[in-house]
Amino acid sequence: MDVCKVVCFLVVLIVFPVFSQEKIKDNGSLDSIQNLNTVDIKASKFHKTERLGQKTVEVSAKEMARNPTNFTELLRYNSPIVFKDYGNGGTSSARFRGTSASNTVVLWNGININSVGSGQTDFNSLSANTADEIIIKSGGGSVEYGSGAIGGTVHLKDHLSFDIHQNYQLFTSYGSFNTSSNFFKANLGTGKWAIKLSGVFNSSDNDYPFIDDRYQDEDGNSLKNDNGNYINYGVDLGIAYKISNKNKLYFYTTGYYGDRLFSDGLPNPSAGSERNEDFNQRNLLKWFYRFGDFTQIINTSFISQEYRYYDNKDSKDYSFGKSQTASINYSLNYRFSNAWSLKYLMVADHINGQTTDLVSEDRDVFSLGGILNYKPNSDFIFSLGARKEYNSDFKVPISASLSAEQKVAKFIWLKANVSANYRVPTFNEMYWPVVGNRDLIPENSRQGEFGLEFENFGLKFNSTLFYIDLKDKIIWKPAGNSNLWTPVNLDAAVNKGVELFLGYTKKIRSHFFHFSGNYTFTEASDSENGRQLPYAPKHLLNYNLEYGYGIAKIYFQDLYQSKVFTNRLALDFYSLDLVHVMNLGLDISLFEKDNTNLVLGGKINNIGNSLYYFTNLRPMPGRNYTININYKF
Amino acid sequence: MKTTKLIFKLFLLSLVFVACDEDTTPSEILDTFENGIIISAEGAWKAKDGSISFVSEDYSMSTNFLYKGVNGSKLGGLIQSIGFNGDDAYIVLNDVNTIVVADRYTFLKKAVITTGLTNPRYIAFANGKGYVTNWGDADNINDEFIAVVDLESNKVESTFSISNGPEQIVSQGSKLYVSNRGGTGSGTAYNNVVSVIETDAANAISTIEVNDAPDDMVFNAAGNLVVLSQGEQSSWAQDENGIWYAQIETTAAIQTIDVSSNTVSSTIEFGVGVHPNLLDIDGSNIYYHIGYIGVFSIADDATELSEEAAILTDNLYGMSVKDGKVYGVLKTFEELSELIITDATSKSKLYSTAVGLGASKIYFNE
Repeated sequence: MDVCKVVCFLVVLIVFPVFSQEKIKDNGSLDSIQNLNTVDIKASKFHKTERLGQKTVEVSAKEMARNPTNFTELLRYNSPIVFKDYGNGGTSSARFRGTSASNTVVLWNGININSVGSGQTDFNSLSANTADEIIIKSGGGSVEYGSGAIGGTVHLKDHLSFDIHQNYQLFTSYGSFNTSSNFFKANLGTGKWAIKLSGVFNSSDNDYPFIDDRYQDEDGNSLKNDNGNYINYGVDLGIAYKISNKNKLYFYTTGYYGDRLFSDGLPNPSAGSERNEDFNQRNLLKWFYRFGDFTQIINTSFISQEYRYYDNKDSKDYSFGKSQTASINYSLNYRFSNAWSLKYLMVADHINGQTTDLVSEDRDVFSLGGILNYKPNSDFIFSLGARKEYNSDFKVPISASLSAEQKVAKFIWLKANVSANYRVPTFNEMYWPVVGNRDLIPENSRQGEFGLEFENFGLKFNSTLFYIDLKDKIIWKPAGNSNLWTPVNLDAAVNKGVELFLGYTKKIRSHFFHFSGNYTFTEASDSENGRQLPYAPKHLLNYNLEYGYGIAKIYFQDLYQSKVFTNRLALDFYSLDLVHVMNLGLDISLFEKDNTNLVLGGKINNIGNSLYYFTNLRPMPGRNYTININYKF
Repeated sequence: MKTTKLIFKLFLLSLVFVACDEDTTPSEILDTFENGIIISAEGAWKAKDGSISFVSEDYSMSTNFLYKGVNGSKLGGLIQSIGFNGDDAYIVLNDVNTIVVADRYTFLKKAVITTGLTNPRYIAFANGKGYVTNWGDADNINDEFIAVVDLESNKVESTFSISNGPEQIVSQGSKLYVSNRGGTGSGTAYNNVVSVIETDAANAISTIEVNDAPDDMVFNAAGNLVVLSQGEQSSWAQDENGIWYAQIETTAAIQTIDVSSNTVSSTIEFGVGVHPNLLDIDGSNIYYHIGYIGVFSIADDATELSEEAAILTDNLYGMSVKDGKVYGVLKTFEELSELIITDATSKSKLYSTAVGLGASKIYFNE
């Protein structure tokens, strides 16, 4: 069987470098002294308490420049997340480890920005290119991040550094189907002040030809992605003032506007008439204050999100959903000895949601939590945390987390985490007219992971076994004597599998070699009937392979996703074929001196012109091209 | 290092074991679908996974997803209905404004109609042409129309307007009858007319007033048209306990239209709050279905409803009756639907099988 071959090949591929690491050590240590230093710095960062015991992947600025079109595409090639998007540029949702899209939390500078209505984030209506740091953290995290952190969390961070510096970046790309992605970024530090200003602008006609020749129009002509145009732009501003080393104030604000048409895909793209607008605005004021052995952080945030959906793009009539979330998040960290520290958390949220058909609804949330950290030496870290949420709508179970990391050999760590997490019912699930169900209770999970991590000699390897037992899962079911679908706490699911990450960087004189790849094996099944859950592929593989010589770098991207089912029946008719897409790119560094760097890039996407789908009958683009300029100064 | 190696070996083993446990055996594929029952399934809303099933007359063979099996591609929409004309099946895909024309016995694709339709519902044939009811924009009650299909080129050649919510369409000679159900979009009004179109008089339209929400229409043995008006149940509101209820409730009825005068010759009304959803005629009997109660049978000249259900059922989404057998599909959109064939006299179940998700219509292919 093909699947078996792929798995065996992968296992060999991934395990081999670890078994043969002694050899690498013998032969490679002299050449990689430079790399060794940088890797060590990263390694210490890796064992930060906030990522304790769990698997994380970082997406770098270089990768952003190589997949700039939208956030979905960036993470599709650089993370263990499975995406389901309604055609290229359409709404897109993210799933970790076979869980549902509302079990993924997106945090902007630490603030949950999932939609109040759907409990999800649309990864195609989010500007991530201007973020300074993107961290993909797999696994449960309700103690730290609250509701929804079951499958994993995606962290977008803006850096405000007081170090005296001035960094600017201009990026522009243009490609097939009149697709243009652009952003600029300015980061400044004066010692007392830190400022970040950035902006993003993307647009596309997105009218790519459909390469599925089984479908034609009534005159036998081939079809294209009609009604798929999009335009979006956003601005971010961050300002920080350092009163003293112990006393700092930060302010972040961001605005985003997106205007998209939703294509209808096959068999008749001319049936497409939908349009969607997004208006997102977020503000965060953060006060960092340290006194004695105490560190306190107060985050005050206000977020407003709105969509307007037009069934007919030519009409002025739309339906909308909007929400405002005001939140105060207080944390106090007390370090009572060199080894022990205790963090106290207090979060209060007031959420208001409205839609066209629904009168305004409010929800108040108050959470208390504590996390105890123990780090007796540099080889062992232990953490124990709990959180209790009080919600004006329902009872929320206590979430808890226990993590430990132990160095077992030079450069090898074992990591373990067990946690209980939850996801509260969303506004749509509770209050949607007629179908909303006010009797819903939160979804809750018991989960654990066990991982091994190796990092040295330019090689980074992580392998994590995971197990998630999810109860009271909310699903939509047809209700009673009508064709109305209503959400109920019905399902239970068990997801288990393994996540692997392999990264390797090597530089020998003018030659540069880099590999980074993710592989996830997931077995996500309905507890009742054992069927594989929808949109949960058994195998997901993506990797980037790069070779550089002198000023030129050539890179190859590969994505493989095995068959997914599109509903809970788990029958072949209701499934999407496996996906295999490859991209090839070239970057040429035209100018490089001090902090100035001008890179000219070109890329062929989908070099094999392969037909692939992430939703039924909405084909993704065939072979297409982009060029870009990336200027840092 | 030994522990590390052990852990990796474990990973390796677990991976290979779990990945290799699936194997599928190919099943027998039919290539003609004569002398049997055709069941069309809508599929889930917006999922573009409507499908067609076939069960042979003697129940010895059945197959699901036959269009995909024959053509290698999905129909790609919600199958609202199928109209048969000669050897051709016109498969109406509501959500993608498409009609797929296929051979009614092999289901091989012959043509596709992709322009001139907006929210198409049903097709009937008269005067050598196809006539398709269209809702137009779901939230606009003034843009409903009939699309006229040239059956040679399989293209929409013209359109003309019709009253709100045109649903089913049936033909008798050069006349077409359309049930104008209304209520096509959320919050839009229900309608209460049957439109008569004279195809040999420049598509002149007259209307016959019936009860609210007329839907199923079947000609009886005498050639008169029996119409099931479901009655309106709309404008949902919440009571003080948060329970939703319909503020507007009107009476359902079975009405017979005398086609010589195009007037309602008999009306049998249902009780308040009773909303039958399906009707068919077999010989001189009218069969109608009320959700969660059952299928009832009355003579086509009856003046009263039946007191007792002929067959007890769960909630049927589609029903056809032929030669004393009731063919019903259960309403489900999350599991495969079930086709149940019951003898109307003995009430015994003759056959049942799983058919496509959201099965809704049953046709006979002789």
